[in-house]
Amino acid sequence: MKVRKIAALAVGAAMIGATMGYANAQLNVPRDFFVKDGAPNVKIVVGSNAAAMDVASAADIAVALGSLLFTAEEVSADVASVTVKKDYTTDPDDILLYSALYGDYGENTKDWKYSDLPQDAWYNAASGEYEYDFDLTSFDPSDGFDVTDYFLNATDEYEVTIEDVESITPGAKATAFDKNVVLNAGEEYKLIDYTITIGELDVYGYKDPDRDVPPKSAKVKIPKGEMTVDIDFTIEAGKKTKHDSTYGYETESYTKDDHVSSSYTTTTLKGGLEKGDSFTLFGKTYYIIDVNGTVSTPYFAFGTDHGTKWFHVGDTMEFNGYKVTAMDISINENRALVKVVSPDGDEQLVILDSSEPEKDVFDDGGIILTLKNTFVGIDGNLIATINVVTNREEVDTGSKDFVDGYEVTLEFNADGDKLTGMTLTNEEELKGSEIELFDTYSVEYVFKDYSTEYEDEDYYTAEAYVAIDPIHTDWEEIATVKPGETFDDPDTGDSYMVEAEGSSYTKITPVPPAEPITLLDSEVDVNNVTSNLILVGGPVANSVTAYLVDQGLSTVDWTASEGDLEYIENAFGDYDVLIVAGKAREYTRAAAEELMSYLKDLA
Amino acid sequence: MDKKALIIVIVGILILAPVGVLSYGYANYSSQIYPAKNPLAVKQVIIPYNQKEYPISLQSYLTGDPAVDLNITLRSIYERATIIIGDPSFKDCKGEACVWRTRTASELGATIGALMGRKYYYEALMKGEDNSTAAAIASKEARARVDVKYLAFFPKAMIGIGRIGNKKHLLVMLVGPKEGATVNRIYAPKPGVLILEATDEETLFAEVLLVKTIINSQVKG
Repeated sequence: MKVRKIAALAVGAAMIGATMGYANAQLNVPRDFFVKDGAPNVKIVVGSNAAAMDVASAADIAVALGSLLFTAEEVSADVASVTVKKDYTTDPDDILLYSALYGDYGENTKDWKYSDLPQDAWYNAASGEYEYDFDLTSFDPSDGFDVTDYFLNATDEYEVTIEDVESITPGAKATAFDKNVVLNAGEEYKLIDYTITIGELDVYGYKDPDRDVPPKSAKVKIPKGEMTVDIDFTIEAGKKTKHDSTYGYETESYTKDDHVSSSYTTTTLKGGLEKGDSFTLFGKTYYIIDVNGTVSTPYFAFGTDHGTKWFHVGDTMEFNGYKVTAMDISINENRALVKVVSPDGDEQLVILDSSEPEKDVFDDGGIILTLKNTFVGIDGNLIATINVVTNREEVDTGSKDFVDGYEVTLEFNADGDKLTGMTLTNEEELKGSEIELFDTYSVEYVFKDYSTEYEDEDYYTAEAYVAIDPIHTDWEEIATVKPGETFDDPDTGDSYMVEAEGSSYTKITPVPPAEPITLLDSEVDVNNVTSNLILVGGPVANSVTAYLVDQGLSTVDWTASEGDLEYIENAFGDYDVLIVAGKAREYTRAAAEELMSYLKDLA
Repeated sequence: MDKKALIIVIVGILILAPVGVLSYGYANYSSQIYPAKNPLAVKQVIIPYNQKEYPISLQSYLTGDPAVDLNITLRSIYERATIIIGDPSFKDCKGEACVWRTRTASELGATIGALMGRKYYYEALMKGEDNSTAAAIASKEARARVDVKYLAFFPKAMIGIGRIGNKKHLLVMLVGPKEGATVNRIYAPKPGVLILEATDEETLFAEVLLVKTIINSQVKG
């Protein structure tokens, strides 16, 4: 297939219909047709009425076009600001098992192989040295050994805190230290930590060892009931007084958290969650509608509180699919007759009495109504105010269906009206090559060996540990500065200066939604063309091409074309056109490839 | 084992090992593209285009800020980039979906082409080349480093084993209705991978426009 390259000169609209071009095997489309000042100067027009050119070919042309788009602005721009973020990710200590590295074990590793690794290089948590003679061969590899028993110092459990994971939203305002510390009603505060305690962490599933050296690979597991997550819902306020180091005057700083640092003087800001508060847990939000820690089975209840609604007789309101209609209201008896239709169509007539507690209409927590009051409105109509709660569920200690895979233990304050904390215990064994803890930390066994050649001698050694690593990086913004300005690390007080490399940097300017570089032929107004155009497809596929053919501006016989690139200068006023087409799709594709080749040479 | 049998075994291994790796990659493809975890943050945005509004969600799996995810994914320096423009059936497509996909792929191609050349443009200028020479070098480098592919077996396997879509090799992928899109979203499931997913072709096109806007690309009309 031989693609022809044709250039034609249109002499304006006045000469439409005349023959006004010349054919030339050498296409000469100027670079400015495609790109001007580093920005695209052309639109790719795709025919909307017929089969489009091979999608990949169109994308390839665009890549080639895109690769021409550079401006000096990219590298020698105006003043830009730089946002500085610091890595605040908490990376808990790994559990060390073994190290035969020279710095730890103290022996030259020349000519070692895996089979030469010393058997007494296990980590001794008590002394902090790698000198422990751990008897690995006494364990069945399918069960493995508990690293918390043998490799942790003083305690047989591993504890890690993930800070500020969950949020609370207070239903009422709380203040401390003369209102210097405030929790506003309805505002979400992400302050709640997870304190994860692992009682047993086994390394298992390795090859049967014949020596006391660490396996090259192994799995990890936490048996059922051996991991707990403690969540504290009490919020403390903290106050710290500092003397100015030069003049001695006092300054005060305040904070609030579920665990305020001991460097602060603390007081209780919120003694736990109570009715009207919300909290998040594992991506769900729970609105608390009741807390009762004084009954034989203490519980808290959550659901959707729709608030107190005003009903006239005959009014119907819908709440989560439940339709509530006030049938009759008695202000003398302070009662209301209400019809409730469930989402399934079940109907119930209930009498609400303001002297009685809430009414669970279908006895399943689906909708709970409480008559608050009845009165005569200003318009003379009877009105009942009814509090509506839907989808109520109770959670008590021992509940296993509140959080999948975990059993819940609840803690309440002495009066039983506040939920002060919650403990979740794993109900299922967690195991695998890698265990993920709440999408935040991963736990895995790591065997790392090292080998090198130095002055014609081979060296080999290895170490092993259980890695507990953060899955995500927690970046926090600490400064926004311009090149040449300084900023201080808020934690260390160290100062840094931002310099633009090569005395230039990329300009970052917000732009409105970017204008596309592709258009449908139906979007082109031939009487008001505002840019150069690459028309993809012949007159059958592309109506703009058809227009140019009708006007006599395109002189190629597209019905017989085996792929042509036809360039028409001033086809639409000052704007030029390049037609990329052929009599069939494969010929259009060939023309597209020719254009790509042309763009390559143009660069 | 005689020599002949040994040769058969070795040849068998040489043939089967790559097939095994590719099969593994193919089977592992989904896990590279569709994260099993919840996003760290989700931002709902509406893209106005052509008198219509397209609601989509920007999801962050890397930093907690979807716009930062998108910027670091597209503005990092890569040795290569692969744009997956869709199902192989688009190769000989017809009709409205085809036209929209052509437009979407073109917009994306121009954007990635421009981004891939920036490093070389900058380097050339730093070496003292003039603007047009630097642009020519960048253009040549960018075109040599960007592949446009359909979602066929081999690219899928390469994505599955992590050869495409990593810190050195950028993967930008269009997932439309034909590729099984279930929601309208843009996300980077891991470093070096950007997915544009939409349940209809027009929204997919609007998503590319949004990507261009967010990265403040020089690619504008």
